[in-house]
Amino acid sequence: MLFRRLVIISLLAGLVGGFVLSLSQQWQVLPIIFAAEEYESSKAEDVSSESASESHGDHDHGGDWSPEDGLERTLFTVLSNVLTAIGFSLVLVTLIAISSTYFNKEISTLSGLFWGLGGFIAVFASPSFGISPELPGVSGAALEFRQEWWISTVLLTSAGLFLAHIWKSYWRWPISCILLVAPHIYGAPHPENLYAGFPADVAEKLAMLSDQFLVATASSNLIFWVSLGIFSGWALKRFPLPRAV
Amino acid sequence: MSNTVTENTADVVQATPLLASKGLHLFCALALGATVLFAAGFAQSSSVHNAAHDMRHSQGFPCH
Repeated sequence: MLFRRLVIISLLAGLVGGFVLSLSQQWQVLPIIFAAEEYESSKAEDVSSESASESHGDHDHGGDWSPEDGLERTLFTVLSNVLTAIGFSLVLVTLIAISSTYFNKEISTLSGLFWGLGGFIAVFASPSFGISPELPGVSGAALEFRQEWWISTVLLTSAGLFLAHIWKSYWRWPISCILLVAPHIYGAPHPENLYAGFPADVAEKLAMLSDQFLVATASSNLIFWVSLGIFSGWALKRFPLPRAV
Repeated sequence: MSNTVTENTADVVQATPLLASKGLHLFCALALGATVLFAAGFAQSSSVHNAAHDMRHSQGFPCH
């Protein structure tokens, strides 16, 4: 059954990708998040977000449950990484299967690598041009607007890359370009001041940390997407999709 | 005998379109992926948010 095969391959790819991501985050990403949280205490209240709903001055949302720092927090981060990786691999594996089933595209470990790079561009690189990965405590525009812009950008970029891959007409180039560029011409929502509420010296340090955070998250995401793509390509070839379901 | 064959064929013909539709399988797998991603990356329940907090920041999901 096609569905079962897609799900099993995605679960395996998600496990591999999730653990690779967790390992790569240990190196720089998580230490930078913890460093930013140290500064969060020096922030004035009520300026965290211009959210139309309630304002979350503190990221642990008052008295609600949150994992204890240390082992528990790490375990939940690994769990969320694996879940997210399974979600992304379900989408990636299915799109590879669609390109092979309907458009006769070749499946291989190498093509998987390119699919992984496509995923990195669509899900990380393109949205990060508009909204750089945020550190805890750093302000943003209203969360709803950022989420809408982020999701639209990921969908449009994915559609643009997918069309460029499967469509044979020369029209694919201008149309893909439009899809890739449109969210950036529209523009990402930004707050007036990213570091509102922080003393000037802390704001300066946070700005430096944010730059480091961009490089760190980009590296760990690149490693993640490349391993997810390579594993998906390999697994789809190793356990081929049935011609007839 | 011939009746049996006819009935079986009819069963297969009726059972085929939905279960053997590749499109449906592909669509369901995509929908499952999207649901998992929404829960992990965007759900605003504060316990889910706190559990997935570091992942959301690391992956560039808009978080707060």
